Amino acid sequence: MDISIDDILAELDRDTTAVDHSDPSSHLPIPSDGNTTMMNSSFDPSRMPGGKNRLHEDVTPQKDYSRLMTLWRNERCAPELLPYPSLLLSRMLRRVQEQMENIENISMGFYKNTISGDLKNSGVSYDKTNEKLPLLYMEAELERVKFLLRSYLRCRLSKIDKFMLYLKQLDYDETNVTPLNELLSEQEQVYHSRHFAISLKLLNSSILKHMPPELQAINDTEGSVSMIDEPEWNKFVFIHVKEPSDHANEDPLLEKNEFGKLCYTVTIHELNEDVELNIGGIYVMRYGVIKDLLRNDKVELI
Amino acid sequence: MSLPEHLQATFSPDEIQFIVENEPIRIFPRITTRQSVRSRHRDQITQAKCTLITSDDHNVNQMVAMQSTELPLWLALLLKQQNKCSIVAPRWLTLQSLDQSISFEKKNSDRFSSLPWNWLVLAQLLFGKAPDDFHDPVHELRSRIQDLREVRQLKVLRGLRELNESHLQLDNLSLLEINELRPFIVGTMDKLRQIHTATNPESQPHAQAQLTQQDLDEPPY
Repeated sequence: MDISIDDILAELDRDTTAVDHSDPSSHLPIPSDGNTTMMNSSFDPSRMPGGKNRLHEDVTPQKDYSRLMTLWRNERCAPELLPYPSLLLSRMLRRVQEQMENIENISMGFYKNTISGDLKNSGVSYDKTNEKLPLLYMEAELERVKFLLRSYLRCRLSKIDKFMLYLKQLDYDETNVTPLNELLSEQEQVYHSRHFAISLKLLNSSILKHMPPELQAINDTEGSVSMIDEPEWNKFVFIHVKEPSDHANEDPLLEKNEFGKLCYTVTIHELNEDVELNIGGIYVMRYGVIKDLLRNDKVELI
Repeated sequence: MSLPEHLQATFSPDEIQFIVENEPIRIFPRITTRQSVRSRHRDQITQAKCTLITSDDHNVNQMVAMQSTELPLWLALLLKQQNKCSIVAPRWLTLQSLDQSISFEKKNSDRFSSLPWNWLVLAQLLFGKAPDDFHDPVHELRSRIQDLREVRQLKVLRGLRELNESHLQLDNLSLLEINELRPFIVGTMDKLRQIHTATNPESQPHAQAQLTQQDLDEPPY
């Protein structure tokens, strides 16, 4: 008779690792480390308090970086402006700052070392290039992180330019779910409002003041063409359906199809069509259809 | 605008390479960075420690010559540039497994073989920067990769007939292949969708109502 002891072995495995981390399997599903981006999504607010203190243990530089990578790719591909991950970004910026100081300190120490090495005229084989290597890696890495951050922020700025009026309108809209200060960082809000004021001034003084009063509004939606550029909600995007993280069987959206594969089912309302998104598959999909899956970190854009 | 025009809808090939360079890869170091217990006791001038903020620096500081270890690809390439390591080619980048993939591609005309998502970029990078580290002759590997690329391109071209206004499934297509197709596929499908919504006027207001509701309320699930 075969007795399956896999679960017993798994239990034993957990005990040995439980020294520094509390049991990782028992806690509530934590949306992976980039928590800040999903504060406003519909699925986790009730679960957040439970996972909160665990989250701090879960935060590592590696995870933050890969999270930022995903966010960057999503931002580049998505037609709308995604919420600003303020906690993640502040952690990243702090680390960049610290690393810059660190490099500076090391390079000063390195300078001293070579001098003393020269003075000693040491007989030991003293390879100077080996000494320099870590510095080289650290600088190269810093440049990579800075590039990523820069590209991410620039991408957001270009979207803020594009949706200037739409964002302004969101700000006035009471029924709106995501307030502007969650969508944008503080600097981005400043940029948005001042850029808006400047371009309004330009338009007003050059053209609009010659118009009849009823045509002077720049955000007229009543006319033949709406002046407010909304994000193109149904734009097609490439998505990759992620593997569910450890809490796979608790996900209510996940189901099995007839081939026994796990999949999410989404509906395209316009065509009245249901589509099964298999785990690990790549699809070209309308953005509006997969928006909620994206917010909940179930899919990523590629 | 703050983001150049050609980058607004897609990634540049360099950015794709940047993404791929974050993946871990196996190397054989030719230097030892692990400090022996002895030198630590004798208060010598120790090497500067490498502390990284994006990846695990444990491996970098514990390298022993000719003991394989895993590093992010960009770091491996940097080391390789200075002749401080040799890169171990991934398992799929051998003549044998490439031949298997090619025969799979030829047998199954309706789907792509399961190469890793970064195969094209990784192969190009390694051929360019570490051609001396392969067990198999590089020119043959190169021609296999080229074969694979052509077979898959043919399939993609055939698949483009299926462009429609609802969706498309493209499993196992690699990132670079997606990236070069993106502007075309997305542009065409967007136009098809617009034509579809315009020709079905009864579904149009309905769809718009759905959309605004989706924006304001809870998701419909």
